[in-house]
Amino acid sequence: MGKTRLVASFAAAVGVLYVLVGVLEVVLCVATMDIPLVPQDLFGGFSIAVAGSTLLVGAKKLKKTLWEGAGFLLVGGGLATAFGVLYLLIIGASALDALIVGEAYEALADLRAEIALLPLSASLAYYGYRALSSS
Amino acid sequence: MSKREILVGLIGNPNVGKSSVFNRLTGAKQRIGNWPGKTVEKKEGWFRHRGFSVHVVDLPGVYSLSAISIDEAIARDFIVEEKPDVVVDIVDASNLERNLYLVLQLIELEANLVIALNKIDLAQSMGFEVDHEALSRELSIPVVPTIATKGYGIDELKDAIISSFENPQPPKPISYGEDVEQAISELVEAFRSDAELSKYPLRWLAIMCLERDQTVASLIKKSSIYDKVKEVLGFER
Amino acid sequence: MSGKSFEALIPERRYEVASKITQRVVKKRETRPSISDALDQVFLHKWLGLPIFFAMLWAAFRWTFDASAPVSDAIDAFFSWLGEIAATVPNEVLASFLSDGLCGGLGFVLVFVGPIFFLFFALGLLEDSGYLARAAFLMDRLMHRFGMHGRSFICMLMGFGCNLPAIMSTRTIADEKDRLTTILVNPLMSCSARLPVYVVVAGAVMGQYASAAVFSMYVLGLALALMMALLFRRVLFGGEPSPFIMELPPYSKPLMRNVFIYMWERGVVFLKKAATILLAGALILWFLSTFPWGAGVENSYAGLLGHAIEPLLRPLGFDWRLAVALFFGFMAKEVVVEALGILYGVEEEEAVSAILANSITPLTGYAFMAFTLIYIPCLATIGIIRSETGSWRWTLFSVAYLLALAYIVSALIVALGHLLGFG
Repeated sequence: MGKTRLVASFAAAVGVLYVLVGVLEVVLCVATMDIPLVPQDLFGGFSIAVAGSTLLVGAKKLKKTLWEGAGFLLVGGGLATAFGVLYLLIIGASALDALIVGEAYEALADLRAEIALLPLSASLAYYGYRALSSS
Repeated sequence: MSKREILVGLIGNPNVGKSSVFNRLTGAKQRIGNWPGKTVEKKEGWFRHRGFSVHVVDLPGVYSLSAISIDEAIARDFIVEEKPDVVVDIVDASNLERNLYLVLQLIELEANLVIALNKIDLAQSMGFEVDHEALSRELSIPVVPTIATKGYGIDELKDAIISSFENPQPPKPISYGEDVEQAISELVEAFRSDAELSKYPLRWLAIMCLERDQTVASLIKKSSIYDKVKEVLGFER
Repeated sequence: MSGKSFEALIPERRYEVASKITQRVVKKRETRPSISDALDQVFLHKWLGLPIFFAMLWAAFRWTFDASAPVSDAIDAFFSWLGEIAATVPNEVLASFLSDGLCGGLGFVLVFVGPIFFLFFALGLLEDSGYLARAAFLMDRLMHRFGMHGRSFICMLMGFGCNLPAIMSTRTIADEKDRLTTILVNPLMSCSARLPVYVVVAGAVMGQYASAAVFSMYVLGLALALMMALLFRRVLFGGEPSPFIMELPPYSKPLMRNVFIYMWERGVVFLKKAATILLAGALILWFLSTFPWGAGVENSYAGLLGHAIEPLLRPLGFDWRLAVALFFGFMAKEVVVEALGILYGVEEEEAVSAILANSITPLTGYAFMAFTLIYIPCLATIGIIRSETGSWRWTLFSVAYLLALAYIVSALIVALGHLLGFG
C-alpha cells in the first residue's frame, strides 16, 4: 500500500508541474511575453495542462482503486509523453529543415519544459500500463 | 491440376479485425478501387496457396445483410450476383452472439462459408472460452480460430478456404421456428415454378420476402408467381 | 399464428438462434475489469474526455504540419533546383514552360505529400488503437444538434488539414444524406492551404490584430459549416441525421503494419488523383499568366480575365489583381499568394505585404481573407467532391453555393465595417 501512495504523491507533483507549465504557456500567449523554455503556445499550453489535470485526477483515484487510477496515469502520462516526444521530433524536423533550406538553426530556441519533464511523464505512463496489464 | 482462380469474399461485422485478416492473407498484393457505380472503397488482393490462385475481395464491414445502407447492399449483391466460391466470415470471438446474426444470414444465402473466429486472445482475456469445434458442429461450417494481428491461424484459414473450395458443403438451414418455417416452405414451393427466381437461393428469397425486403419484393413483383406469393403473405394478416 | 408480422419475427428468431448457439459454445469466466474499461473511464470522462480529445488533436496537428516540414521543404527545394536548371534552356518559351510550368507545378503538387502522409499516419494510429471511435462518441451529441452525424466531426476536423482526405474520409458515414451534408460543408473548414493567404494579408493590413484575424477565419469557417449543415438538413434533405449506433471496440496497441498500410493506401490515392488534377491546373495557370508571350502580366490572358471579373468584385473593394489572384486560387488556395506576388510585381512575401498595405484597406483585406476562406473549393477538392458524390450536380451545387456564400459574407463584412466607421 505504501508504494501506491508514493506513486500517487509523485503523480500529483508531476501533474501540478504540467498544469503550471500549461497555464504559463497560455498566459504568456495572451500577454505576449517571452521567457526561456516556456513558449507562447495557446493550444499547446491547454493540451499539456489537460495532461497534467489527468495525472492529478489519477493521483486522487489511485488512493481508492489502483485499477481506475492506473488508467488515468496511463492516459495523462502518455499524453504528456507524446507531446514531449513530439516537441523533440519537431526540433529534429526544424534542424533538418534548416539544413535543407540552408539557414542556421538554433535548437535551443525550440527547447521547452515538456521535453525536460519527459522522463517523469513516461515513468508514470509506464507505471499505469504495468498496473493495468498485470491486474 | 486445377488452375482455376478461387474467388473469395471476405465479410464480417465492423471492428472484427477484417482488415488485419485481409492484410495477412494477401500481404502487399492489393488493389484499391471503388465498387462500380458506388463511392465505397473496394479492396482486392491475391495470394497463392497449394497451387491455387486466390482472389480475395474485401467486402464492407456490416452487421447484417438487410440492404439498408450502401455497404450492406454492396456486400449482399456481391454474394448473390458474383457467387464467390468461398465466403470467409470474420467473427469476433469476444462478441460472438452479435456476430452470429450475420453468420445466420450468410447461411440463408447458402454461401460456401468458412468462419474465421478472430480475436480469440482478446476473448480469452475477457474471460470467454469459445469452443470453436462445438461452434463448427452447431453451424456445420468449418471454423478456424485466428489472431490476425499476430498472424496466428492464417495458414489454417488458407487451408480451410482451399478445402471448402474443393468440397463445397452448403450449410444446413437453421430452423427459425415452425410458424416461420411453414411460411418459408410455402413460398419456396411457389418460387420453384419460376425459372427466373430459381437462380437465387430460394430459402433466402423466401425469408427476404417475408421480411419485406424492397429489392427482393421488386424482383418478385416482376415474376410470374406474384399472385401466388401475395396469397401466401396474406396468411399473416 | 403468432400475431406478429414476419418482418419483425424473423430478425427476432435470428437473435434467438444466435443467443442459443452462443450459450452452447461460450463459457464465461469471472474476470477483473479490462484495460479497455479502465481507459474508457478516462477517455470518456465527464470533464476530461473532451479536453483530452482536443489535446490529442492538437498533437496530431503539430505532427502533421511541423514534423512533416522537412519532407515538404525537401520536395520544394528539389523542384526549385530542377526549375533553375530548366530555366537555363535556351528557348525562352520552353524554359518558362519547363521551369515555371512543369517544375513549379509538379513541385507545388508534391509538396502536399508530406502533410498528407503524416496526417494519415496519425489518423491510422488513432483509428487502429480504437480511440477514434471514442472521439466520435464524444462529439456525437453536439453534431447531432447541427444536423450532422457523429462521424462527421472527425471528417470536419480533418478538413483543417486538407479538405481532400477529409472528404475522402466521409466514406465512413453510412447514411447518404449525412455523408452528402458533411461533404458539402467540408470546404468551409479552413485547410492549411489557406493559411499562407491569411498570414500574408493579415500581416500586411491588420497590424497587431493579425493573429486574432487569422484565428477568426478558422472560427468563421467552423461557424459557417455548422450553419450550412443545419440549413441543408432542413431545406435540402429533411429528416433527422441517422442515429449513431456505435460500438466501442476494445483498445489495442496500434499495429505499425496496419497503420502504414492505412497511410500508404490513402496517400497513394491522393497522389494519383491530386497530381493529375493539380498538375493540369498548374500548367493552365502558367499558360494564362505567360501568354500572349511578352505582353506582361496585366495584358496576359490572366490580366484580361482579371479586368473582366473586376466589376463583379468592385462592390467588395477588390481590384483586378485581387480578382486574378482569387481566380487562380481555385486551382489551389496557396496560389492566391503566389498570384499576388506575380501581379504586384515582386517575388518576396514581405514585399507583397508592404505593397498590399499601401494599396488595400484593413477592411478590404479582411473581406478578402473571408472570401478566400469560403469561395469555391480548390480544384483538387472539386475533383474529389465529384468522385465522392458521383454527381456533377452536387459538385456544381457546392461550387455555386460557396461562391454565393463568399460574396454574401464578404459584402456583410464590408457593409458592417463601413457602418462601424472602418475604412
